Amino acid sequence: MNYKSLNIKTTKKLIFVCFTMFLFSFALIPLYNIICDVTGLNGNTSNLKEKIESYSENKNISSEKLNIQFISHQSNDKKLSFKPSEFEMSISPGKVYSTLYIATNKTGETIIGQAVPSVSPNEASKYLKKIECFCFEEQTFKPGEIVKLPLYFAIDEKLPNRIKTVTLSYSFFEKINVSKKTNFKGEK
Amino acid sequence: MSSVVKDTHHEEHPSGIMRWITTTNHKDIGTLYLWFAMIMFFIGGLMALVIRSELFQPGLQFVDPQFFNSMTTMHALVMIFGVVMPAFTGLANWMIPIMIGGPDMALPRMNNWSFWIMPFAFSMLLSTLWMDGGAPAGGWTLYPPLSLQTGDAFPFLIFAIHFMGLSSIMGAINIVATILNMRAPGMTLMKMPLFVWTWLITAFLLIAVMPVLAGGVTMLLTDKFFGTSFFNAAGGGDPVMFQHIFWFFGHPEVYILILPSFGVVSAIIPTFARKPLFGYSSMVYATASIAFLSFIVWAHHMFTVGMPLAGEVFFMFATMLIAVPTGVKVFNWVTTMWKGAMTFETPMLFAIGFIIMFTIGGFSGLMLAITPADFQYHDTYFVVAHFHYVLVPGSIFAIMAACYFWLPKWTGNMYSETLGKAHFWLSTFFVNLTFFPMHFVGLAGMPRRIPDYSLQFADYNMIASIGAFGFGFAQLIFLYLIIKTIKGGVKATDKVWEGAEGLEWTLSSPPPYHSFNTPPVIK
Repeated sequence: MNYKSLNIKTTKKLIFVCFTMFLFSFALIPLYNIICDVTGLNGNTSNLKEKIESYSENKNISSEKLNIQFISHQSNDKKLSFKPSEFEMSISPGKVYSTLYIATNKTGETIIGQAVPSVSPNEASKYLKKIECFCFEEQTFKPGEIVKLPLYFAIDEKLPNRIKTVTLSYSFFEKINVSKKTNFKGEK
Repeated sequence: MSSVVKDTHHEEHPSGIMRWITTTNHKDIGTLYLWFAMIMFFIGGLMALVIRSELFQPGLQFVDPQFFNSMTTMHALVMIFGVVMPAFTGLANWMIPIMIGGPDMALPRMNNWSFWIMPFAFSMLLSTLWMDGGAPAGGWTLYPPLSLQTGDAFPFLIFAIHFMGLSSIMGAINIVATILNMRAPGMTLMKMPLFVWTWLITAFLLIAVMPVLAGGVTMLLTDKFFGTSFFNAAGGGDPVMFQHIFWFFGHPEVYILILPSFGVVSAIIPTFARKPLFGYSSMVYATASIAFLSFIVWAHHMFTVGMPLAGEVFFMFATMLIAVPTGVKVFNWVTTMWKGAMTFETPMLFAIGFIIMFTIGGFSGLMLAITPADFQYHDTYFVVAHFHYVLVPGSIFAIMAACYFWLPKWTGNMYSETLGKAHFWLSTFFVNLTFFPMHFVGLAGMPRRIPDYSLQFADYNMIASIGAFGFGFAQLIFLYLIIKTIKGGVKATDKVWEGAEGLEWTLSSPPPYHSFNTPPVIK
């Protein structure tokens, strides 16, 4: 019976395939995640990481340092404390940095509003790239809440040499509840 | 002299029940598989009739919704794992050794095991009908988290699936080893009958994907009882992951259910058209292409889970690509019949019915493959109509065609052509009466797996229910005809059919208990 040993050989091979496929079914779980990460399918890649990478492509990091100052403004009613976590940074143009603003709601009410940026000197504004900014969206602060507001930014290396300091200012404006506080003609 | 003594000894086997329990003979095991499938066919059919009774008119009449859902779930599990797969394995056991000129299956003792696991698996599955919390009711696809809410039945369901998988894997290993090692000298791969080819490819599919199903249901089991979180979002898992794993098994599985039918039809059409099969090698390559493509289209079952657009587009086009090799097959069969000297005995009628109605199912499959359209069709009766067209007048008709085709060979007696034709025409009429209206209610938005429905679907559902009962009763003719043929009838010749080609027709009808102990000469 020469086919008997052949049959045993074939059977061993096929049983090996079976076990491999059984293990493969468990391997599918990390595999799906890896494939989605690599191909960017299913929104698995972090949006921010992608944005930073796409900005950093083909950018030369300048060796010259530059000062950037952060300031903040808010309304006089002291309902909200809104200030940068650091007031000044020394940065290299062309590189992405991150910092935080910190907001504290000092009232017992929810505050809804948005921060509006402004850059000084005006000339620098077109070289300042905000990659991710809390100012892009409306913010909601619950009573007593302390919120860290992230900012990812970079200054383009093409910024003219004579500018040595850039000031970034944020003014927080509370959203006015039109229906509740004012009538149609704007009277209180 | 000694060889004569040996031969008579070979014809002996234990009598009574022990013959069947201890048998390692491929013909006995084939018979066991086929009878097992027949019994399951009537059990699964009764479940279908419970479903159709409840859906005869709107409102809740006979069963409560939980039991209705159990019926849809169990009907699917019984019909897929208990009817179509064992029936094809039975045909493989009976026919493959005598088609390739081998003495028996390669692993006869394992063959005995792979059959006798099945009754245990199905006793376990069917026993859940009487358990606390009822039988599994979350659909045969077992999607978590719903399937994890199954009551006491849950571990029984999982272990039943493990056993069915084990049985299929053992059967498949046996078939591959038989085809690769047991062929008579001169029987090259490209001389094998197409039924053997399609089964070789099917067996490889089984070996590749049944372990994946086993893995998937094992994860369900550990999620439910051992605190893992493969599919539990609260523990960092993902329920959609199960759908990916399940359909990675599930799509090749649907080809496991249909590829052997292609082999059966490719044997029958040339016999009754009295012409050799047109495009033999293209048939082999088309079967292999379908098997390959089946691994890269699984997500078309889950277009609506929120896949990225790139994924939807890829799976849509990959799915549509399958129409090409399938089209090659259909055209080859039609071309084989073209200008042939055709006669229309019962097996030929079933084979032609298969080609026409399977193609209808194939077309509705193409409609479902179109992603934007699928959002409308998803989980409606249109899907039910589609897969019943490919499975009932597809796989089941092919199995019946095979039974009529080889029954005279198996039993040595001719069946009654009148009864056979009555069975065919009644089945064809009622199968279309049942499933064709489902296309319309599906397109109009009737969801599947629901015991009650809106009034506008009432007429078509009533028609479908009448069709289902008609189809069910028509199968009693089939059962009666088979028993009658086994008991006696006009003796069949060795060749049986005028146009029959192949090694199985060189044996006597019925063939000796052990055949081809000395290999035949292949021309």
